[in-house]
Formats: sequence, structure tokens, C-alpha cells
Amino acid sequence: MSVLSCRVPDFLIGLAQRQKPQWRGQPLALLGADERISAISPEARQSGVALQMSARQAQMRCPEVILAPLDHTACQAEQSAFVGTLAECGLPVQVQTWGAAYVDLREVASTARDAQPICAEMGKQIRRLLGEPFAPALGWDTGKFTARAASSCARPGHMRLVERSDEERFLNPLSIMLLPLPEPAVLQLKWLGITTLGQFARLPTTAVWQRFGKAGKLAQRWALGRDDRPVIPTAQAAPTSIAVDFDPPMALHSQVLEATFAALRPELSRLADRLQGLRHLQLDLRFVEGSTRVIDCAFVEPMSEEKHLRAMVSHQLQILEWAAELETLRVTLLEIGELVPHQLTLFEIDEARSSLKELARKLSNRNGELFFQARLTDERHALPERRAVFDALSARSVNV
Amino acid sequence: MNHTKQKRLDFAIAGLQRRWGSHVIVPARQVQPEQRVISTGFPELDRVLGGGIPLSAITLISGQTTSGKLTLTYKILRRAQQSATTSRSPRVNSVAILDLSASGDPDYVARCGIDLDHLLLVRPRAGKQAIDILGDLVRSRQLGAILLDGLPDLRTDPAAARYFDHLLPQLCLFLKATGCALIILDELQPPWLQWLTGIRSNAIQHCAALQIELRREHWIESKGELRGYQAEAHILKSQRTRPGQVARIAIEFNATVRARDTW
Repeated sequence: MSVLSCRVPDFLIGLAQRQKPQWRGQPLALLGADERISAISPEARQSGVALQMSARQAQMRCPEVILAPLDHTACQAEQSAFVGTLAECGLPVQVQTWGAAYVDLREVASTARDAQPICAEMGKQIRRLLGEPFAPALGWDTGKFTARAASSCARPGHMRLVERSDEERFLNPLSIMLLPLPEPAVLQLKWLGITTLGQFARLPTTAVWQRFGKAGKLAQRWALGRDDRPVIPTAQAAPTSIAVDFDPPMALHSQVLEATFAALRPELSRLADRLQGLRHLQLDLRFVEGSTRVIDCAFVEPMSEEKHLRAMVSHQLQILEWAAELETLRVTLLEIGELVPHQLTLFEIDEARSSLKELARKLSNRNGELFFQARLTDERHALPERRAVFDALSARSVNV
Repeated sequence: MNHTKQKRLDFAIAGLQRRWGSHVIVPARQVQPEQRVISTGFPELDRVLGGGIPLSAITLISGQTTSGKLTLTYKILRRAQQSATTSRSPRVNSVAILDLSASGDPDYVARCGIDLDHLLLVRPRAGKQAIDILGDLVRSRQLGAILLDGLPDLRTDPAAARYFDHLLPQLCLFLKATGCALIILDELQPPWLQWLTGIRSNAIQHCAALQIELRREHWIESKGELRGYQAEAHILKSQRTRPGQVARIAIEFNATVRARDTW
């Protein structure tokens, strides 16, 4: 295996800021079709705004946040162009998320030395396509997860190639947050004091399986650098379809929703075990009088959590004009993608930052640069005011 | 209680403990009250206060200039930092100082034993902003104690003072939920000044769980050199112990700038 992970950081935010340059450097959050936060700028993230929050929650965390609807069509066009550019070489490309994709380099490069010029050329093409502010971060390895971790560690405009022999040394100190584990599992790991991939990899496999299930076992394999998932081109993935027949026909929204998710639940569970989620869902509704309706639910990030999917589908069913009672509902899982870690995490672990600095940083965003930490410089100086200095704990100084 | 009643009670307790575990019913005499106080660093004052100043509540320390308010408070902050340290985990609590008068001296703070790495110094620009930040700091759940230094500065803005009085009950609830101690320093003002500023609210005194008034008693001299002073701490209000008690504290300082282990 030889996989390149190409990631454009803050792709959706970058596109929005390209349209409106006055939003650059401002806390910005984009709202998806389900009226939840789908993308956030680093400035908004610093203020505590997280994905899947409602607009009101985001405003409570950061009153200055700019809320804008996500232009799904424009973003989709840019995403297609991005994937098209990667696919120009004729290599299999699998979409990971917005502005991120895997490229299978098995046929052209098997070592880091071979992959380097190809990766560099692809990076240049992406930059030419999207413009100067969009600098892709590239990661290469023999497995998908390590390649993705490498691209997450690489700075925009840089690449990180991990040799097979260096995999363990590379993965061990990385944060556990890179694994797309569900939120309860991440919290449990935090309580257990497991913060790095190395610590997670060293846990007994049976214990991990017992506590975190199949998803945990798979995640542990990834943490060990054993990821043998092939790169499957997005176009080749066959959609799964589930039909739900209502006999007698139904018109109650809650019952339809319940029956739909009862049929969909095993599939969602299977996806969650593989650390995958739904990116595009299609509902075909057939009413008793013969008419049909099609509902398209496209998610900004892949989702496998039922509560989020239920909220989206419920919203779509509520705004639909029901012609008559429902006879048949066909659910088609059009696109399935790999779960994105930051979607499921509530917090970011950065051991270097103390909680006090983190607190000062959050409050600085709201109140200004009023927070200081004192430091003694010359304890023996004759003048008291010269013995210590105040270091401003502003957002800018801490985040360097 | 006669013998039969006692026997029935014992049977009932044994039944409940058998079913739900021995921890569900514990005799009152065996219950150890949780130590929810921070030591002041002055044993006599601790004795009078029943262990120290309360956590999860407001403590108001008032007194005239150079009566030892700040030194006493810095000592409490130092103890608050150390209270999280155990033999197994050397964790240090963080504390914050809201320095409204912008006169905090880090050198003096350090000489009082406070770990500067775990001290957040806030210098708000306006009174109302200070109160908002105070609320945020309490709600953050990351601080062991907060010092609001400069209540007179807050009172110079009547709108801010009213805002503070209005938010005090809410702040008390947050303190109770977070386990943080809030210490407010006040300076004694003559009644005519209160009349002049038009602020005669006693909301802080009402909400405070402990109110201490410090009065400087006399200077401590040694070999013709000023070595410190002795102050009286009058307990005006206390929810844990009897008010009206007095403790004497000796605050020693080195007349030279280079203080040794006097603190």
C-alpha cells in the first residue's frame, strides 16, 4: 500500500472567506441545511464554538461570531474541481471529507523517496487550482490512517512522508484525538489518562474490544499503524438501499421516522463499527395516491450518530408537503465516508497549554487583552517595579 | 428511647444496610464534616474562624490602609494554591486576582509565597467589565480562589456598583456550584463619604459568608527598627463560628527591599 492524504485545512471556511474577504481573521461559523454549525474558523474555535452546535449556542460562546449559511452548491463545485485535479494523474482517488482525499500511489511509488516528487507536484496543482490562500498539507504512508495523521501534522504548504520503519515513532506521541472514536469513548480514554496513540496502542487488545467494541479494536489497529483499508474511488462505491413498506399506509410523522430508523439502525451500527458515516442520504417516498417525492439529505461531514441523522431526517419530513398517506419509503445510502475526528470531539488536548492559559485565552477573545501572568526577572533589583514583568496572556500570544 | 424502640430501629437499619449497603445509613456521630475551608496561615485566626475562610462563598475583608488586608489575602491565596496538592498528586490550584486599582506588585505576591505560574492577574478597564469577568472566572471551574482587590474602585462607578449588587445572589449560586472562594477587599470609609457617593447598599455584607475587619493595633519594633505590625481581626459575621471574636495576627516585614524568609 502507498497512500497520499491530501488535506486543505479549513476548506469550507476558506471558500466563504474568498467570497467575502472582510470575514478574514474574524470568528466565522457556517450553518448547514439542518441549521447546525457545519464549519468553523480557527478564531471561532478558539472562542469555544464547536461543530454541531446551534446558532444560539455558538452566539452564547462567542457573541462576535459571524453566522453565514453554507453555500452547498458552490462548495460542491469546488470539491469536484479539487477531486478532479487529484484524479488527473489517473490514480484512484477517494474523497475523505471537504477538501481532503486519499490518492492510491501503489502503482507509481512504493517508498517515500519515490512518492515525494509526485506528492509535491499534486500539491502544486491544488494550490494553482484553488489559489494562494489554500495551501494543502500532504501526508504519505503505507496506510490510510497514518497518511491522514501525517497530513494533519504537516503545516499547510508542506508534506510529511512517513517511512514504514518510522511509523511507530511517528504515531506514538500523537494525540488520541486523531482517532475518529465516538464521544463517550474519547471521554473514557481521557478519564483513563490515555492521551496519545502510543498509550492506546499498548493497551491489551481484549480489554479494548471489551470496553470500546469493534470500533475501538479497529482504532487500536490504526494506532499501531496497521491500516490495510484500500483506497476505493468514490465513484465506484455501490450505494446501499433499504425499503420500508408501510402496511397499512401511514401519515404520522413520528411513526414514519421510527420505522425508518428501525430499518436503518443495523446499517448505521455497521458503519459505526468501521468508523464510517453517512455523507449523502436519499429518501424516496411513495404515497398511496401514486405520487412520489425525493428528499436529499447531504451532510457536511460524514455522520453515524443516530441522534444527528434523526434530527436531519425529521426536519426534512416536517417541511415536506404530504400528498397522502405514505405507502413505501426507500432509503438509499448514496455516499459513505470516513468519520472525521474533530466532529466527535468536545475538546482538544494540548498538553503544552496549561488550563490557566487556556482560560485566559478564551476570556481574552471576549474581553480583550486584560489578562496577565507575572514573572520575576530580577529579584534583587533595587526598584520594586523592575523586579517583575507582566506577560500578557492574549489569544495571539498563546496560540503561537 | 425505650429498649423495644431501639431494637426495632436497629433491625430496620440492619435491613436497609443489608439491602442497599452499609454506606446508606451512617450514625451522625461517625460523619466527618468535610473540610471546606482554606487556612489563612495564621493559626489563631484559623482557630477563631473554625479552620479558615469558607470555600464556595464570599469572604469580605475590610480595614483601613496598612491594616494587613492584602498580606492576609495573599497568604490565603497561597494556601488555596497548596490545598490541591496531595502526596500522590502534586497539583497546584490556580488563583486569580482582579486588580481593579492596577496596583498589584508581583514581587510582593511572590514573596508572600504565591506560585506566579498559577496566578492569573486581571486588570479590567471598567467596573462593569470587571464584574462580567468575575462571573466568567467563577463559572470556569478552574480556579480555587479569586481575589477582588479594590471594592472602593468599583464603587466609584455607581452603575457598576448597582450591577454588582444585582448579580451577587447569582454569583453566590455559582460559587456554591464551583467550590471557588471569592475574597473581596474593602476599605473602611467614613459614613459621610457613603452619603456623598450615594451608595449605601449592604448587599455584599448580606451575601458574604464571612466578614473580617482588620485593625492595626501597634507597630512591632526591634532594636529601633520597624519589623512589622500587629493587627486585630474582628469577626463581624461568620456562618461557621460565633461572630464577635477577635484574633491577633502579627505581620512582620523586612524594612529592606530584599526580604528573606519572613513570609
